[in-house]
Amino acid sequence: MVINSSNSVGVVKTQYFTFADKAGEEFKLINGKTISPVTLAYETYGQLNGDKSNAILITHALSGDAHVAGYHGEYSKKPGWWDNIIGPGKAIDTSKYFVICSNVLGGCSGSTGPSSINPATGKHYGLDFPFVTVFDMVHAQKELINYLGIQKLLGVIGGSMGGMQVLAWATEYPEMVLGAVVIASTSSHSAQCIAFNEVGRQAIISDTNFKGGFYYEHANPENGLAVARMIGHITYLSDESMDEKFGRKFQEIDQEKIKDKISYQYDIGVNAVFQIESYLRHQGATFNLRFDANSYLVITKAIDHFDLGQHYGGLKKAFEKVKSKFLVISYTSDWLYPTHHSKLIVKEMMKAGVNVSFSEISTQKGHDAFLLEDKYLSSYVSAFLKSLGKS
Amino acid sequence: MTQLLREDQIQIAQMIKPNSSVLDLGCGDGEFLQYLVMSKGVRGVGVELNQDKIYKCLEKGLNVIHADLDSGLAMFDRNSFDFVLLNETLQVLHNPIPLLGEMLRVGSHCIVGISNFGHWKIRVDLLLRGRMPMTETLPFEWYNTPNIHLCTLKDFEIACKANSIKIVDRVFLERPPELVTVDNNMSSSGTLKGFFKGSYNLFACFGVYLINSENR
Repeated sequence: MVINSSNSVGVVKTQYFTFADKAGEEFKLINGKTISPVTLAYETYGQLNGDKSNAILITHALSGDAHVAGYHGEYSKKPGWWDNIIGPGKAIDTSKYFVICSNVLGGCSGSTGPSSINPATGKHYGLDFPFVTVFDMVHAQKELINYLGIQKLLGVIGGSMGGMQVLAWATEYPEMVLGAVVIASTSSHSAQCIAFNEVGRQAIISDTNFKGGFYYEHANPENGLAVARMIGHITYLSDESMDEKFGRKFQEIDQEKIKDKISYQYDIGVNAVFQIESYLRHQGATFNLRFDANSYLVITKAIDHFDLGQHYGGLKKAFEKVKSKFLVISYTSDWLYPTHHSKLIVKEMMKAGVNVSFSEISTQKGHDAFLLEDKYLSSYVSAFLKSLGKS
Repeated sequence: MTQLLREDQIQIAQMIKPNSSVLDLGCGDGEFLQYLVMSKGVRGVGVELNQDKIYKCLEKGLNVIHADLDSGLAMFDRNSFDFVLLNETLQVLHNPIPLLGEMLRVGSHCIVGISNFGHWKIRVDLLLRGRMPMTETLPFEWYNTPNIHLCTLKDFEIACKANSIKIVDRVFLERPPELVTVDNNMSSSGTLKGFFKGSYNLFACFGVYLINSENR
């Protein structure tokens, strides 16, 4: 693909920042365990201004990475995961703002995680990798922000698990965040969210290749991870969006059978007959090319255990620490983190005196709507960022 | 910069104490709320249903909450605002009285602005034409009007009494509210006076009420 340079950040490169790598240094997790060294993969776009007041941190969702905008090569086909909102002239305008995104601690796209080498053993961490929380992810990002010489972020913006990180940023480092945007997110997982994640984890763990998480020298638990991705993907869509996209349509290969009236002569459990089956299988298979099963376990555990209220002794108490201005956005058809999750956040923020705005955007696209191009998301975020510059 | 406000908004602004907290229900593009924030130093929050207008509020740096007033004010805590405003909106609600109750739960004082359906021109219009009245402030046909709960000022006051709502102050406008330049000497411009004030249900085009709950 030839890159349209007018509104793309163009060809970008992932960078790496390593800390807690000198003798005696370690990165301490909130459960008391330590990791050293820690590497964070990150990308930046735009220019940091003279007084370093135009930095925006983007926090990614469960399966995201540091590559949020632009292309990794001149001929790469796929832009970063949120390219539709980040770039010159876009809502998060890289001709004005310096945009940073880093892969989370525990991830598998360049940052330290279970697939990294454990210096103590010289082998992959596997499930020796400690239990990390969303707060630990944010504490690690803070090291990166310090390293970049930024005292105060103009904005921290994230959807889904990224939104949890935004909440953690504004409560852990109230002085460092001017504006915060939480999109399609929650202050804690419902039983249903945990339930879906647990099905995914069990699929991975019960794959015969899993071998207690120490599979790196053998075959990966590909089937387990694929099933985990398939179930996850269902929760990111909606009934309406699936009906619109797939309905009961068959795969091309089976069109003959439809014409033939239905003979019900199908292989059971071998070939994908419905388009939705094929789509989910494809999602599962391609996920294996870029994601590590242990990271899936570590990160889903981190988000299941994220409970902002519990962490601070009450949501209102948590928000009493906040100094940032907030924008909270939910989507009508998001049944993973339905609007009442966002409304709870907003209600408790108002009780605590936080400057907060809220909108529920109408869409049929489900939870994943936040990743898609949307007039309202773009205009809200761009207006919110501009108003921050004024105050 | 010369600030333009509608005459009803000027009356509402005069009822609001400086540096108080204000919840503006149906705040639209936030023009008026921004005025209150800038000139009266209020801590303001707007409530709006229309996504395009929410964007306009965000652009102004206002705090705006997306909500449908017909579903109440569950997002807001008891007594969390000094003033709750509802201007030219009561008549579009499905359940106006429960919302007044919600407003009085959330605010110490509430300010309600309503068009007077009892104005003599409207009465004459119905009497002589025999058709549903259409005026400058109510320019809709009966079948496409969003105004499903119009009332006269007298009707509103009777409803207040029946629901233990105390009217603390009231101001009547003699003309349909127009955009005017804000200046400091216009506190009573355009309001009904003398004989006309006594017969406000016949002569007022618009009423602004400061209310609170009798049970406080």
